[in-house]
Amino acid sequence: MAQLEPPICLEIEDLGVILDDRPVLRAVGFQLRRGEIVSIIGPNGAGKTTLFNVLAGRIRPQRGRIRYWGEDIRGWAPHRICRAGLARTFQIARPFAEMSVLENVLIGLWFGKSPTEAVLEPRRQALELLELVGLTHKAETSAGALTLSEQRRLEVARALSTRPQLLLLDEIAAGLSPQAVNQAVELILALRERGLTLLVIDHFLNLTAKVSDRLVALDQGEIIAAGSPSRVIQNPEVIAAYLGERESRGDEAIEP
Amino acid sequence: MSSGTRSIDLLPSAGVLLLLLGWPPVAAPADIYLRVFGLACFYGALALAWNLVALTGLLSLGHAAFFGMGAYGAALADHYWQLPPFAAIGIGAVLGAAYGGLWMATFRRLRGAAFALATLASVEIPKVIIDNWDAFTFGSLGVVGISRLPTLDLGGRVLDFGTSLTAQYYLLLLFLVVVGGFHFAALHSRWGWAIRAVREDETAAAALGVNVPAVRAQALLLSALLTALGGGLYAHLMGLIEPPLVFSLHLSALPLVLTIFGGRYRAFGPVLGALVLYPADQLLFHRWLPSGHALLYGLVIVIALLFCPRGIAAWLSWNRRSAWKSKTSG
Repeated sequence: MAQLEPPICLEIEDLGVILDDRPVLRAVGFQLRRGEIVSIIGPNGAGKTTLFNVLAGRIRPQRGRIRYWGEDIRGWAPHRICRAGLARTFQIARPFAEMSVLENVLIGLWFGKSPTEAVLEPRRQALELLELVGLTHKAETSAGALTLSEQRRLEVARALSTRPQLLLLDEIAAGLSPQAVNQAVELILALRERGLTLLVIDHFLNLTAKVSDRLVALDQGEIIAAGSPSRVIQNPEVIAAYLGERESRGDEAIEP
Repeated sequence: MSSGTRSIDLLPSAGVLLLLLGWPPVAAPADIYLRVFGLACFYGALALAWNLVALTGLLSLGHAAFFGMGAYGAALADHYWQLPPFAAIGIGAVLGAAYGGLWMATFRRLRGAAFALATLASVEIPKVIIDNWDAFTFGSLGVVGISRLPTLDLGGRVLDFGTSLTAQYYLLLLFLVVVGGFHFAALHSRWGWAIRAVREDETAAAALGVNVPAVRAQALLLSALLTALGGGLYAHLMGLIEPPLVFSLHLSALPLVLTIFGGRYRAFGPVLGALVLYPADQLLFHRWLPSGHALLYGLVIVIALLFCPRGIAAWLSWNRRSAWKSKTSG
């Protein structure tokens, strides 16, 4: 008898988004099972962050379905999606600059779930999360004074503070040193150990090969390839999409 | 806004309150001082109510709309239905809150300067309607002969709100304390943290589970209700109102000036601004330059924004904060 597969956490079907009369996502569909790590890759402007904004409730899609644990969450307000257990980080960090780092995390602990599910000892939990991302020594610093890579880590701690089941990570390893990338890899694997399901945007392919179970490659709003990392990265269409970007921009895009 | 800043807010607030409660019996003041400090409490309360919206990160230039609706609601309820004054004031307050609800529905997407300009413009709508609906509102003649506030007998202690300046002073002080309570909660409570998160970055706040539209709505409705309550009180204290008096730009701008001068992020900041600036204007400046006292407010706001953008209340907090910081780091 075949082994039971874990339940489906997120199921996207035929998603279509038009922004300013321009289609940004077209017929996007894939699914995530509990405990999986899936990376979204693709050149700039492929629609990766738009996809996150749709999943988190910031952008309302014109068509398609989003099922989270079987429930259609399309059109839900961002705070409701968060409270249902779907948290995200922002590619460009959005710290509450005038609050301390600790207070930033406390906001998620207080509001990330409905008031009936209050956390015990929020302060202790906030400190634990800061330890997980290596920001304990900055707890009392105001968040606006953090470096870029510290702000990224704060994004992760804050998203975790809402006690999510599905975590969307947007470019948490972009621009980091190789050492810091390795720390990010370890962090992601540790989060999976805790039972989280992860959807990761990774334009620079820093994390994908090391942590992902599967890749989904987007180009101009459409899925051009999906499957195991080695297969997707060698897919001619994916290479062409990244090469096209390299030619037009002259930067090194595909560097596993 | 940790326990440290809460004590910075609680102690001066309690001190200011004691001073306000205690001075009339001790000093046996002349009428002008009761009048001036009573109105200082009144404008302090309006500033606190205004700041409820400002704390969510939106600057209103149109709170005179709520004030005027509250004043006219109360005055007309008094005139047509002869309701008891405090019931009439309640009707005015509800009317003001309803107008706040209208703001919420129509200005939902506006931020920054767009919001400020929209609020500024929104004062004109009720003003023009009331100014021209002669048959119902008496138009530009205004409403006259509004009932005086009643006399209360509290176990032998008679409070004649209609004529006694001392009783009126304590009524306005009570108004200040009530609004101050809500304002304190908007800084130091779970709700206060939500407000602060919304102010700093509403997108991030929403992503962390804060119900941003609800927080904004609560703050705005409460602010409108309390401001309109002030308008109703004003109508019954003055006995007459007219459109340019209660829908004036002055009433929209004064709370802003007092709050920015006093301190936007401290529970007692707006009150401090009112207690310093209003008496200074009425008792000192008005004597030298009777027709130009608006100049004082203009000057103060420019100086405050240039040299002390967090208001004079921040002097207190900053000293405490830097002292605390050097203690923990050293």
